[in-house]
Amino acid sequence: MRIRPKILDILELSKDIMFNEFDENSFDSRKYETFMMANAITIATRQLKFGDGPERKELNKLLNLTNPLASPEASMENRLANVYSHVCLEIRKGNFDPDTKNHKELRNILNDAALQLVKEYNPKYLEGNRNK
Amino acid sequence: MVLGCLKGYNPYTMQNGNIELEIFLTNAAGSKTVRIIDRYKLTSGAIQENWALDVEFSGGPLTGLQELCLRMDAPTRISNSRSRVEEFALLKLAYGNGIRVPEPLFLCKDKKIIGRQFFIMRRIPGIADARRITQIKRTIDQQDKLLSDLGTQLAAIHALKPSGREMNFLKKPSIAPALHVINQYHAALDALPQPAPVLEWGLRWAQLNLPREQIPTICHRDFRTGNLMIDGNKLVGILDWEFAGWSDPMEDVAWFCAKCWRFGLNNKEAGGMGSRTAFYNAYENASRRKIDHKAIIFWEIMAHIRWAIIARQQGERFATSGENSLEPAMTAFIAPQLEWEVMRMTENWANEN
Repeated sequence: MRIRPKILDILELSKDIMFNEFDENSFDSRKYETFMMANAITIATRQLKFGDGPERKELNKLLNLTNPLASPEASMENRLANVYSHVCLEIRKGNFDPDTKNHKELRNILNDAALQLVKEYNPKYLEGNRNK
Repeated sequence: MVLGCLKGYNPYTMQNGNIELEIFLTNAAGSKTVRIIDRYKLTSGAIQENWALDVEFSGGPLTGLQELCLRMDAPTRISNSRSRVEEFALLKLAYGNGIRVPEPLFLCKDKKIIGRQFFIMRRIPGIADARRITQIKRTIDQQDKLLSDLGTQLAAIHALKPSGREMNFLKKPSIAPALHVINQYHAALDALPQPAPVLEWGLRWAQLNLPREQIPTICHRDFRTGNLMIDGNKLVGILDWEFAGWSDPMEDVAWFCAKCWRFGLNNKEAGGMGSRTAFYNAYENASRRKIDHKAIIFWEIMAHIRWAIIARQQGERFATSGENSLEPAMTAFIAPQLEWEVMRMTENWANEN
């Protein structure tokens, strides 16, 4: 599940900054802000490229594993949030501890989901971690 | 560890409050007159705000030009962080015990002076920017000397014995430090609007793998490259005592060495500055305490969990609290790599134990 805040909201803020606060002399003094805005655009591009496929896959895997009460009409984002809340509670209760049936399966789902987010938010991090 | 906004924050207090500040400094220093020659913001600290002050004192023990630092709350704070009153007391305790920290001079509890409580300390030379510090080319000998110094200083922090009424706020938790920290992180996750199952997973792992021996000592709890003032190859001061309190000393050792605080220099496991050996050896010699390697792994996983929670909290400053600033918003996106590390580290632990 993608991290809050939504990247589109940050793009909105970036656009406001660029239109309202930047002029031709801004770059040197606002290098860091410019870098952050460029980074936000890059993340948004990656998310567009990946689409909602990874989240949908993640949701289906989690629904196969656990069965929270959820309205099937809810948006995928809300359904994912709902199933995540349920999984969090179950983890805390110890229902996915190492000696339980679904421990390994949930571990794999969470690992894949975490890796997917790194690919979207900072794939460079993976380059530095090859063979480690 | 929940973020909250400070009520009544006025971003222009430092611009408009100089006369009141000069009067405060005059009285606090026992001077005849005080004139602020220059002031500028030192850091954009997410939690606290530091200002450089060049001040001319006439009369009293500080007569002459003094380079000072004013430290006050930032507009948004983390609720488990210490107040300026408490941080000033901790700084005095450290300074009085010979730990390398900026000399604490004056505390101002009166919010009318600049709109917030603050304290004044001496400004020390050097850089605290972690990326610059870790990029300085040092010989192995220089690295080892610096890391030995850091290990010795950390041992001295862990030997601090707070006493007196002004240290009453330092309450020892009634449970093991690791459990106390797990409870704090659970509470922080509960306060976030978005569930974070990887962090839950990490905390559950932590509950099942608590370090065997935890003897609480005073810990800095944010001892890492970035909170150390370094001048060339020399440690000049240990900064930012806002999280200090009782904990397992291995938490500090691990926080310093955790991968998330190496600034990309993963082969330099001690703070991105060198190998662990010199740091560990100096720490063990000075503290007469053995490094507990299993506890270090435990606390390094906890370090990633802690930083990921803070990153997500920073994102909420934008997403929920309406703080229209890019920096906290973008900080949230560090969380994925930290959480992936939590998964990898807990898996490695399972394979090795």
